[in-house]
Amino acid sequence: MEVDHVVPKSLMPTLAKDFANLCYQPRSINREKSDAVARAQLRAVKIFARHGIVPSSTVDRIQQLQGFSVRAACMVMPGAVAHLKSVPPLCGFPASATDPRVIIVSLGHLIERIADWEPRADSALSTADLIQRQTAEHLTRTQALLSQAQSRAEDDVNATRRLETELANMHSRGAKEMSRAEQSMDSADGISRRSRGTSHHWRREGKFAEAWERRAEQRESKARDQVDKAQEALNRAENALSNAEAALERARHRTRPAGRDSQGKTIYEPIDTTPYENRVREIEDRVQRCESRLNTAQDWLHQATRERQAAEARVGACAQAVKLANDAEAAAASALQSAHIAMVAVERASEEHARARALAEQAGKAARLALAAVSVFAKHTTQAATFEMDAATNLQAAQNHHASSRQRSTLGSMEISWRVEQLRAFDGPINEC
Amino acid sequence: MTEDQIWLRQQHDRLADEIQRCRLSFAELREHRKAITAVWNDACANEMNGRFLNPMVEEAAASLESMRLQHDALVRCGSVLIEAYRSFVQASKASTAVQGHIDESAAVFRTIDSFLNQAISEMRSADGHANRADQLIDDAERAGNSAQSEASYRG
Repeated sequence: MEVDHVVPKSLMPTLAKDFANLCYQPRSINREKSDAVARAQLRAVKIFARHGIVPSSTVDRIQQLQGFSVRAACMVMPGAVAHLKSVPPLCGFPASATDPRVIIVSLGHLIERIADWEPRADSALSTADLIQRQTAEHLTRTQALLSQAQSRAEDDVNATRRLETELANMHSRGAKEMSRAEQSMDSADGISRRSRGTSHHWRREGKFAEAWERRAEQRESKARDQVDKAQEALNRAENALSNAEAALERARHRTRPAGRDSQGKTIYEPIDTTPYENRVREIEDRVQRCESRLNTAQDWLHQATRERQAAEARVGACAQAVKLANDAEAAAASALQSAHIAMVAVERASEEHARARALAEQAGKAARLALAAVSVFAKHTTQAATFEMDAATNLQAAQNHHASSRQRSTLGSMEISWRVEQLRAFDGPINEC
Repeated sequence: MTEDQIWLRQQHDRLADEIQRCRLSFAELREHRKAITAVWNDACANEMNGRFLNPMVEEAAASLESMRLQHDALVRCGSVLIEAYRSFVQASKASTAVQGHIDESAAVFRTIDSFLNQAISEMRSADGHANRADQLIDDAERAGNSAQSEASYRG
């Protein structure tokens, strides 16, 4: 609540200190109310005129101004307003420093103002204290955030360093595996060439061996024919020998008349077997020659058979070698394929490593950005702490000043009230005291 | 701006309003004091003014000024806190990006590791095949040479 003038002070200053012209108003209405001359003002002036506080002519003047604000009225009807400003109250107390009633009223208002001011200032300081604490809490939370952000930024920097280290390790490992893959590739390539060469060599040797085997077979066949022929000749010679020996035996038993003995009997003598014996000797020679020829043929056959067997063995060995060389070639091809896959894998690892490097660079950049932002964050937080401290210092000063002011106002109000009471008692009749 | 910051700014505005109201009330008080000097200017007035009212008004004015300075400092503090929070958001975003890059890098490292392990396995396999091929070549040589050739047969 506030105390307000019914007739605006700007319109009739002489009524400003008159009790009759004062009224209580809600603060909001009082603040919104202008200095307009409305029905309430006209009604109040009429009452004042009826009770002789203002001249009755004033009512007419006020009626003329109804609907205007005093400021507007000054512009529209300066004469009327000037007249009203100088209208003295008829039965009001003249403004005098020595008039105790005026002083009592004025000091009463002063005490009211002081009483109004005190809780307002208390409330403002209380609000200031509350908001100071809220701001401090906000700052504390921000400082906690800063601590988190700093810790996180530090973690980020460490993480990016670990990332760099891991990247370097990966690079080293990749380079090593690349070198090994190249070696493996070279080795597989060499073994592949060697296996192909071996295979080719033994295929060629196999062809030579087959040709040799065919020749050996032909020789063996020829030798076998010769053995057969020699055997046949021997058989024939042996048959002839048997026949010759049989003929010789028969010849040895045969006789021929050689004359007559004394008795006239025919004398028989053995026939000459020499031809038979010659024949036997001749055939025996022939048998020996046949046997010799057979032996020779059999030796040849034996040699031819051995050679054929050697050629066959060679063919088999070459075939086995070719088979093994083919297996080696297949194994070398597998080695080459594996080495190739290894090389491709290492190359892809290298590509991925390049990608990881780009990511590490981005991470490093972002970490530096985070660090810079945290640095700015820290700077702002420090500034905020400084401002908060300034505010706290000023609040403390405000509280100290207010406490002093409050003390003076309380004592002053009490003193003035006491003196007003004394003045009122002095001004009143004895029986009222 | 976060809800907290908006709320804090509203609180600062509220304090400003409170100080402004206090200042108006104080101005009215001073105005009233000034007004009553016309009617109250005796020795008592001088004494009351000297002992109580003047010091009270001076202290109140100083208190109001300190509150104004406190409010100004709080407003600056609030503004700097907003800036600080912006930096925090930037740092958080950057940090999140770092974490994202690191996670992605870890995935890439796992891929690299997988490729290198595959390469090692394949190289081991290649070495095995090569050794076997080497052995087979030796076997082939031995098998081929286990039988005499025509030339050696004939001496």
